[in-house]
Order: sequence, then C-alpha cells, then structure tokens
Amino acid sequence: MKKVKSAIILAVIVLFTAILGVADFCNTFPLPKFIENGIKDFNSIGSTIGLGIDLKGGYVGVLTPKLDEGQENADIDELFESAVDILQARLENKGYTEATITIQGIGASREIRVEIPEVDNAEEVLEVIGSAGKLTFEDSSGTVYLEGADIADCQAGYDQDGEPIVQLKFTQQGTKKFSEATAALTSKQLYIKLDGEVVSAPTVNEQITSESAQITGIATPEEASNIAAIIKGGRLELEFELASSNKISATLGENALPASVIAGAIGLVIVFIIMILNYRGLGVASSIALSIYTVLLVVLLALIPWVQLTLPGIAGVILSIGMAVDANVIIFERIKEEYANGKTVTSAINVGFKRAFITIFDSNITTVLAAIVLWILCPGSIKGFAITLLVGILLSMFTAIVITRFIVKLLFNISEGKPSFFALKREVLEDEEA
Amino acid sequence: MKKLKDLKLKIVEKFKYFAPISLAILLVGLILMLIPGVGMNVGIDFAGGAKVNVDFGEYLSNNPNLKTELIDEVSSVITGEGFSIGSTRWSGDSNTILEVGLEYEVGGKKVSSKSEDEQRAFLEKIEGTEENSYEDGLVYKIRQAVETYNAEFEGVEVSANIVNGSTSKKLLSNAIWATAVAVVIMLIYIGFRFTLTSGIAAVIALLHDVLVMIALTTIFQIQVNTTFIAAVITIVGYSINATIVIFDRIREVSKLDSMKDLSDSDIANKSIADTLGRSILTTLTTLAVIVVLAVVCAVMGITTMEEFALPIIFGLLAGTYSSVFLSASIWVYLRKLASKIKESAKKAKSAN
Repeated sequence: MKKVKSAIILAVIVLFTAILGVADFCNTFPLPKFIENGIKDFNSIGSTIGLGIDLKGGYVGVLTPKLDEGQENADIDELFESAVDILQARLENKGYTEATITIQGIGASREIRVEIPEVDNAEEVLEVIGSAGKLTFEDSSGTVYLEGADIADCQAGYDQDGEPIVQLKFTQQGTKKFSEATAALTSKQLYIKLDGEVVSAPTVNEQITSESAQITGIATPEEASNIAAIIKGGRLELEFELASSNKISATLGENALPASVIAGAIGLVIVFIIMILNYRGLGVASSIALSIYTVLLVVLLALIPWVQLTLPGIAGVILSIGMAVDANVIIFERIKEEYANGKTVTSAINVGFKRAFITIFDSNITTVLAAIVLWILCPGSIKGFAITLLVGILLSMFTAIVITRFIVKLLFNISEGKPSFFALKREVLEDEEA
Repeated sequence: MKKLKDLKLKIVEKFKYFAPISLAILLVGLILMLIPGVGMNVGIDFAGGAKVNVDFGEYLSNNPNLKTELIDEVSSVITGEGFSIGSTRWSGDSNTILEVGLEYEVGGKKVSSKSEDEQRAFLEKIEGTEENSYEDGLVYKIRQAVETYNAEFEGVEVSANIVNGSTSKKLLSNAIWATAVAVVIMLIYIGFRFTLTSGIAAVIALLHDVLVMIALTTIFQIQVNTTFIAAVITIVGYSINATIVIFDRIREVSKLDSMKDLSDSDIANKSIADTLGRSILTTLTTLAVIVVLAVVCAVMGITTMEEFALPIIFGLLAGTYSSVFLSASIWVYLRKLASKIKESAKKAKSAN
C-alpha cells in the first residue's frame, strides 16, 4: 500500500517538474511543430528573466560634457571621475545595476559612453541621465531656500489620487531649512525647480516642520522615477548632453544565451549520469531533486525584480548548481558511511541527513555571507552575480535538505528499503577487518 | 580497527612534496608577469584601447547575411596591419555598425598608453595623418577594403576613438575591497563555528586558489577582462566551501572519544580520507558543467565565454588540490605553531 502511494506521489512530482520545465524553457529549445503551434502566444518563464547587456544587448549613449567657462581650467580628470560615480549611482537608482560606463577620447575631448540594458524607455533615460540634477526650492524672487544636498533620500511613488509624485526626505539641516522656508512663504508659492525649470509650484498653507515633502505635478510615473534617480544620485558638476544614442547587440554575441542554456542542459545530464552511476537509487533521487532545483531557480530568477542575468550571473548559477550537487554528495557519502558502519538502511538515511546538515549549513552559510557582502558593497555587474548566487545557494540548501530527503523517502518505500537499490554496501568494512 | 585503511593515507606527512607544486606554478606565473612584454594578458576593459566603428549603412540592413563575411573582411585588414582585436560587436538601430575594440598593440608588441601623447600617437596610427591624406591609417585601409569587397558599400563610414579603462579599474578595486571584507567576515564565522586556526588555514587555502588561478591565467595568456572578476569571486565561494567540508570533518573527528589518542596529523589524514569521495565527485560534477560550457562556447565561437570558463576551471582544480592536499596540512602546522608559541610563552613565564 505504502509502495503504491509513494509511487503515485513520486509520479505526480515528476510530472509537475516536467510541466514547470516546459513552462520555463519551451521557447528556448526547438520543439516539435505540434507543440509549437499550441504555445504560440505563450512566453516561457525563462524568457521573462531580465537579461543584461552582454546577453541581450541594449542601448548605448554617448554623453558629451557642456563645459562652462569657469570649468575649462578645472581638473578635468577629477570632474570626469566624479561624473562617472554620479552617473553610476543614478543608473543604479533606476535599477540598471548592470549598466556600464566608460570614458572615451583623449584630454579635453573626452566623452562618456553609457550602456544600459534593453528596456522600454531606454532612450528617454539616456536623454535625461546627464542633466545636472540641480534641485532648488525657491520663492518667486529666486531666493534659494533648499538644495539637493538637503535631501537625505528620495523615491518615486503615487499620491492618494494615483498621480505620480517624488517623495523627498530631508536631512536634519534640510528639515530646518524647509520649516524656515514654509514659515517665510506662508500663503505664497514655493517653486521646486530642477535645473532651473519649475517642476511644481505649490502654495504654502502653513509652516511645515515635517522631515518629508512631495513633488507633485509630474506628468508620468516614468518621469517621476527619472527625477528621483537623478536627485538621489547627486548633483553633477559637469553637465552632459546626449550626443548620440544607438541600439547595441549582445556584447557576448547573439549565441551566448542559447549556448549557455544548451551547455547547462548537457551539463545537468552529465551530472545526473555521474550521480546515478555512483549512487543508483540515491542518484535518481538527486537527479529529480536537481531538476526541481533548476526549474524553481528559473522561476525565482524570473520573479525577483532586481535580477538582471549576465555572464557573471551565469557563473553564480553554475556555482550554486555545483553546491546543490555537492550538498547531495555530502549527504549520500554520509548515508553510505553510516550504513557501512552497521546501521540499518532507515537509520543510515536518517542519521546521514542529520549529520550532513551541519556540514552543508556551515559550508553554505560562509558563501551566503560572502554573497551578501558583495551585494551590499559591490557596484555594477558583481551585484548581479551576488544576487543570483544568493538565491541559488539558499534554494540549493532547501532542495538538498527538504526535497532530496522527501524523494529518498519515497524511493525507499518504493524499493522496500533494499540496500542494493541505494548502492549501499557493507563489504568495505568486512574486508578491512579481515 | 576499521580506521586502519584510512590512516594509510599520509597526506599531511607529504606536505613537503605537495606544497612545492603550487609554489612552482605561482613562481612561473610571477616571473611571466614581471617579464616586460609578457605579463598578464590584460584586455581592453582594464588596459583601455581604441574602438573602430564601421557603419555599413542601409545596404547591410537589407542584406544581413553579409555580416559574417564583413567581420572577416574587416578583421583581416586590422590584423594584417598589425593590430590586435579585443572584441567585435554589432550596434546601431538596425545593427549595421560594426564595433571593433583594438588593444594597445602594434605588430604583436604592447605599446605604452600611459600618457595622453602616447594615446594620441596610437590613435594617429589608426586614423592616419593629415600630411598623408590619412592614407597611411587603418581607417582608410578598412574603408578601401570594404568598398573593394562590395561596391554597394561605397562611402562606408569608418571612425575611431580611444577608450579608457579607468572605470573598469575602479570596478576592480571596488570588487577587491568588497571581497576582502567578505573574507574577513568568513574568517570570523569560521573562527566562531570552528576554531581560529581553521579560519586562518581556510583563508590561506583560499588565497592559494585565487593566486594559482591568476598564475595559470597568466601562464596560458588568457585575456583578462571584467568577467575575470566574477570568475575569481566564483572560486572564492567554491574554495571556501571545499575547505569547510574538510574542516567540518576534522571538527567531528576531534570530538569522537575513539579518536582521543590520535595526533593532529592522524586526525587530518583521516578527515581527508573520509571526505575524499565527496571531494572527487563534487569536483568532477562541477568541472563537467563548466567544461561543457567552455566546449559549447568554443564550438559556437563565443571567445568571451571561453575567457571566462577557463580561469574558473583553473580555480576549481586549484581549489580541489588545496582542499585535499594542503588545507588540512596547513591546519596541522598552524596548530603546531600555536602550541609552540604557547609553550615558549609558558617557559618565559616560569623563567620569570
């Protein structure tokens, strides 16, 4: 009875994994015509994962500096360097952690080249990204009360009517200045300007002592998000204008992504073969668990909004697959050892999982810690690596500890606990004693 | 009794044979790095270089099948003139602009690009000089070759510019800094969960793996670009994982009552033997995945991916080597060192 029940559960799990696998990858692999026709309007889950410029291409913009008269003699190296930092920060605020910035040209004829991933409004972003970002709160006569430096944090959002706004949070100094400004301007208009242009001009009703304020009167949510990204990134000493913008194809070539997917599939099959040859029933369990791991990883990468898969990200995936296999190997070696030491199959499995858990926990937590540090401290493409690695390792721990264990239990019931099915032997021990 | 077989594996005692292998690789790598004109094969990402843009215009957008031939045509002119190609890619709204990255190299020799004058001189080689109506430059020769290849490309636009590696260098220094912080945090964690000696030994093993990886990358002259950073960090993760598995075993074996009489070396040897199956199998499977990636990319001609996969393969091998042959031995020697220091401190105390 137990045997039949377990077999049915296992079949259902395999079926669900297969269905999810199809949903993940179906338009990556060449499919037979009859399936292809059936899923014409369907986008696979895998295809919704955000891809970086190296795998999918994007847009490139060349920004040329607008040199003011006073700046001609300034240290141009320094100006460019700080500009690159601020542009990077602005792009990261927009969620383009994978954006790359390079300086090209020699001497004073230098330009900044910005590459951003392919997104709906890429050209619009390139258009505004190089603006000075000089935020001022002024009265009608042009007296400045607050500046960008008084803003501690800012975010795009919506007000209660669903209109796009930018939420500002002042620094301590800024709160004081804002309170003074609103006291001075009660029942007058306050002009919030970005680069000299009025974004919104609310009438002040009373003195406001709160540490936050909103910029309203913004046309689109997209514009709000751009304004927020620019203000938060800081003010540019050197202003830029977009000299040209263009589409670019995938840096690694158009084949890079299909190549990695195909390589991943072949790699997994090889891993399955190695595991099954070595561990038989346990290998089957880990092959099923690893398949579940893979299809779930794709779903997670598609669901987590700040994932932008790039070549380093693929490295993160490979490393986490390696660690998922490793976790299984550690468990199985332990089970083999416990059985060889004289335990029954059931208790060898139980003790094996329990003991191996400590090993897996310690070895994976160190990597998790490293991934978190990299995620917090690193700019650009390394962030993408860190997030895929983090997601991958946490999922691999879960798969090894929960899913592999459950499937081993099912297979144990199905095989009625035969040691040979799990490639468990005691001869090693007896030989030694002889 | 049953531990007899395990004890036959005397890896700690053979440390003096294993360590020199790593040292030799490191030494060769270091020497190559210091030889002028060899060094690490640093790509445009870090070293900077030039970018040549060839805009083929509308005719190509109507005949996209010509792309492969055009890349070959342009590439052969560039290499024929003694320049080295770092990367090629298509851009433009209808993908008709070929972007070729050139390294600071002329006739197979690296040229210095430290000063602006040197950069200008390099750009002049590409753009040509005014007194020769630019006919001595690469740009002119590419234009000519493309126009000869197909008259439809008459008036093809070719331009060049210098690209600067400074932003990638910044990424690198940020990454090194962040990795250092990560290593310190790992050291604290290991010190907390295991012992400080284990933590230090693990970090030494990690440094070994990364340095051997860098040395091998230099020895095989694989080009280093920003993706190398991710490759190195991947190995940091892998290496620490592999080492911890052994130290976890050492921790467990040390606690067993039946192992009370064993020396540190015996505990280490036993732990290596106990985890040997795991070490081999995990290396084999991870290697399989990455080797397949390298092979598939080589077959499909994606060189950047190869440049990424090969250093990882070096790092995996170094990581396995160190976790089996070195890390536990380092742990033993560190323990010896620690007890010696303690003893001499005690002696100093009793002498007082």
